[in-house]
Amino acid sequence: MKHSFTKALVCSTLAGLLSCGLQAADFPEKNLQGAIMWGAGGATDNVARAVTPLVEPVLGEEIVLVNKSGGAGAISTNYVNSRPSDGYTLLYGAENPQLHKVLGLSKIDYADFYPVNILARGVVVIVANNDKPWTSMKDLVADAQANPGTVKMGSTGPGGLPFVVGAMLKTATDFDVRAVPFDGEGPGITALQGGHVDFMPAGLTAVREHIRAGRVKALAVLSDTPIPGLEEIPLITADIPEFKKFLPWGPFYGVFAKRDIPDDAKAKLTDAFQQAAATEQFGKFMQDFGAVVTNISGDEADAFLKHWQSVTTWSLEAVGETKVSPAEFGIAKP
Amino acid sequence: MADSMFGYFMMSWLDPSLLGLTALGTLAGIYVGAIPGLSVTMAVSILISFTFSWDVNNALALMVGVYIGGVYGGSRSAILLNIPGAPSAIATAFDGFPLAKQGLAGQAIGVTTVVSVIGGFIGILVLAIAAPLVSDVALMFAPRDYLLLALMGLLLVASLSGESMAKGIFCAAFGACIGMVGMDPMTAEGRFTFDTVMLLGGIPYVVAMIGFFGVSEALYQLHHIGLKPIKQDVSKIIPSWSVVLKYLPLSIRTSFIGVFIGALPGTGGDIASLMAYDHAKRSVKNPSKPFGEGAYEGLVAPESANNAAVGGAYIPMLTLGMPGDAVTAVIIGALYIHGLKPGPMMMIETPHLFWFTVGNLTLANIFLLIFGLTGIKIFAKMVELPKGLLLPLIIILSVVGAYAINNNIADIFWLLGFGVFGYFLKMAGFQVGPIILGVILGPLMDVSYRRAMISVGDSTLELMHELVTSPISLILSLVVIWLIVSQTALPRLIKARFSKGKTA
Amino acid sequence: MKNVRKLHPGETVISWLLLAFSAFVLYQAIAISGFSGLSTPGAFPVASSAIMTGAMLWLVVQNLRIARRTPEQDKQPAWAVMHELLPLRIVLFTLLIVAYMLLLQPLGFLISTFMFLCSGFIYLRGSTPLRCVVIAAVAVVVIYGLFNYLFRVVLP
Repeated sequence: MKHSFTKALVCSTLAGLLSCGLQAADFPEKNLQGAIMWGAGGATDNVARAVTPLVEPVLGEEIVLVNKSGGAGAISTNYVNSRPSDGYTLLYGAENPQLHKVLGLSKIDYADFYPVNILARGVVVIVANNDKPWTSMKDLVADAQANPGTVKMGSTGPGGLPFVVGAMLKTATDFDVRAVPFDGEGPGITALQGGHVDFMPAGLTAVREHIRAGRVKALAVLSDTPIPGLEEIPLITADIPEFKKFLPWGPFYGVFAKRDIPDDAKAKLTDAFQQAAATEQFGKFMQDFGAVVTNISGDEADAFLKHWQSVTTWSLEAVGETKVSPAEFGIAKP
Repeated sequence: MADSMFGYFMMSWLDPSLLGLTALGTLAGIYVGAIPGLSVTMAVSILISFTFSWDVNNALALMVGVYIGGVYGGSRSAILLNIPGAPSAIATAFDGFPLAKQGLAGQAIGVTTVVSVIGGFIGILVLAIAAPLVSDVALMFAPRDYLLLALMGLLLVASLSGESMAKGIFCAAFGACIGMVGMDPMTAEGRFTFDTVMLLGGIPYVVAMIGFFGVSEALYQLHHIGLKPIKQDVSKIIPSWSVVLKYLPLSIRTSFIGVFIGALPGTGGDIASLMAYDHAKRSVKNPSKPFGEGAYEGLVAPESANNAAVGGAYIPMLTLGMPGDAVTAVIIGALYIHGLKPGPMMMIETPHLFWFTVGNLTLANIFLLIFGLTGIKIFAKMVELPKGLLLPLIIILSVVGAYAINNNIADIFWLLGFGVFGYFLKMAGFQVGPIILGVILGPLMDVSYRRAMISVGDSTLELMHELVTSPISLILSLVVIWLIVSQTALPRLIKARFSKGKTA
Repeated sequence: MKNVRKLHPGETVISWLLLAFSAFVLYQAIAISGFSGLSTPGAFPVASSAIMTGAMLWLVVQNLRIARRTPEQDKQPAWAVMHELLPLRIVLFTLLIVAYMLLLQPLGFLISTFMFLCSGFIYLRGSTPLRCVVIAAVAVVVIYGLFNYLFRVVLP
């Protein structure tokens, strides 16, 4: 009697273990957590909250979203990196971590993460205050060269989009402007309309409606091929051909998990996000939002990330805006 | 046109589901607001995913309710527990908690509710009739003007210092230093971070607020553990007409402060309520009790202002698609997700949205009056719990609240650190109010000062020049100077001289 | 306000410690970017920590003056000050909070909070032990339910 009891115990334990093992194959078996690296209401936050409800039905579990902003995204990358490698913690991020190493902010970038999906790419537009006499990039560059250090550029701090575009312009045209940093693109555009800064490179997301309403004027779009819907804005390469070497360039938004999560989790997540990003609803959202759906993952996304990092860090290095040379981290020259 | 305007305005009043959702949102908002650490911003972001598949009007109705209820709800915990449920309720704690200690928590909540609704209505009124005008003025505010505004708010230190001015100044400067911790938003350089990633994100100011107010007060109360809890008088909770009329002028004045500060893209309800409190202290000569000891005027001013700031925050959002504060920033995100295009064209392309929101805000305010004035008794009785039960519960609420802000376990240690530090400061006769003032205004001063300096290429002379040539800056500078002068001994000297001249 | 106030127990020691603390903060602030410019990230921290130090110096001087005028018999011995400033109850309760915070992650929210509330209630004699346990259990369940399910805060 006693013997059989022990046997039963062993059996049930084994069965339990076995079923546990089997269940592990059925990723996910509980709610996931998604850390958003920027605050509520920002572009990254909007993209994350737009895509997640489309992913959840495919995964069959909820993704609980949390904003963990701070350190230009370093807080979130560190947090997700410190979580167990089980695929239950996702990172919703923008391009910023790719610059963290050279700016000396953090030792972690997307090389430590598996790109579940690079959801979308943003388009960059250079806009100016309506009261300025400039009608093209040529005028702006000429003005900035004639009066070095007095034209005010709206910025969002080191590593931000205007900062990088400013650095690229500096390499391409050799001009000197005064960068006034704001808390984000929104506040920067607000200041631009109030005349507190003169021009600002910004994501189309932040400025499209203001251009449409004629409250700011668009001088150029950062592209060498016309972008559907933006044909009336001149291409940057038309006025500054030297800019071509940086293109295509723009911010991007993606979902990441730790590099060493189980393969089945990787596959499940990749599949779920690919389905979600391919939906018409997400496409429509992105179009309204002013971004282009990319929907790439795995190796393709890795190549994209590498290229982006190489182009951007080396152009920052060229104008002396880095703390540590990209060569130190083995980032190849473009 | 007028017909359709009115139709849109009444939309949420006539549709049962919109009506119900607004009511539900307002009720839920009061609780979200009352729990420290749960912010309206957070609640509205959660609602985005939650209402993803809903009709946009339903989603917006719920969000409007939560927003209105949440801004008001912060006052509950500020009055009852001395823990402001939201940063915009800090000034409410200055006089609200002393009232609760005197057994007048019910009356305090009653007055707060009525003036919050008055403030809310004034905010909506300004939104409805002057939105484009206000948003144009708001755009003209340059970084230097934000610096002057922050300076104005900081002058409140003088009246919050308690027994010694030196202590007040120390606390405000210390608060500013807490606000500086972390990565500098302008250069990405670490400040007071001791090279740790943990400190790179800074210390959320809500953690400092809960620590200095809630935890330090809980520790302080341990001295009086044996005392019987104060009996709360809950007989006359709904303020009489004469009481409302008495505070109406102050409420209206501070509501206008609130709506304008709320409409500025760089400032919100927290700064509005502090400035309103400062205004009350200067303008009310004979408060019901001295300020800081339970003056009703000290409740009327900040609570009118922070609810008026809601209408204010909607002004740049609805006219320009620019957020007036963190909550409207999230609502803009929601509009995108629901396929709308928030921006300057919104008023032209989707005009119904404006009047729908105005009507919805009005409705939520009416619900606020109803929900705010019911159930006060139960809330007030909470303070009558024995201290032995109340204090550990306050600690748990504080810990959960501090954790909830960023889901960061390190924050709860900051919470305790601030609590213990605040306890010693209190024992040595320091006031914690100025610290929070510093935490909120310090970073605003820092970035606007530097932005202003960078804009003029670090030339002090040019900054001075701009201060006198720009009309807004000139007015603000004069107000700051006047405030400083009227606070110091100068007017008394002049007066003394004057009266001497008369007698002689 | 002028010199009519009395010193709080332990105020002298606390103000000296705060002065040292302010000086330390000032030192750290100067380390950020020195005095290299008017719009450097260090400019504002230096200004505010200098104000901290200045205000504290002012207070220490004030306090010295007050102390000099206080008659000898009004001064409390060190142990009495200690007793008033830090009664055993506050020390123990604070230690209880520290223990709770340390156990929060390893034990999880439900168990550690329940334990903290029980011991806190009983130690502070909030109610009879049995009722303390019941109230603690109810409070934990309510808070957990509210935050975890309604507000989507993932508690540790």
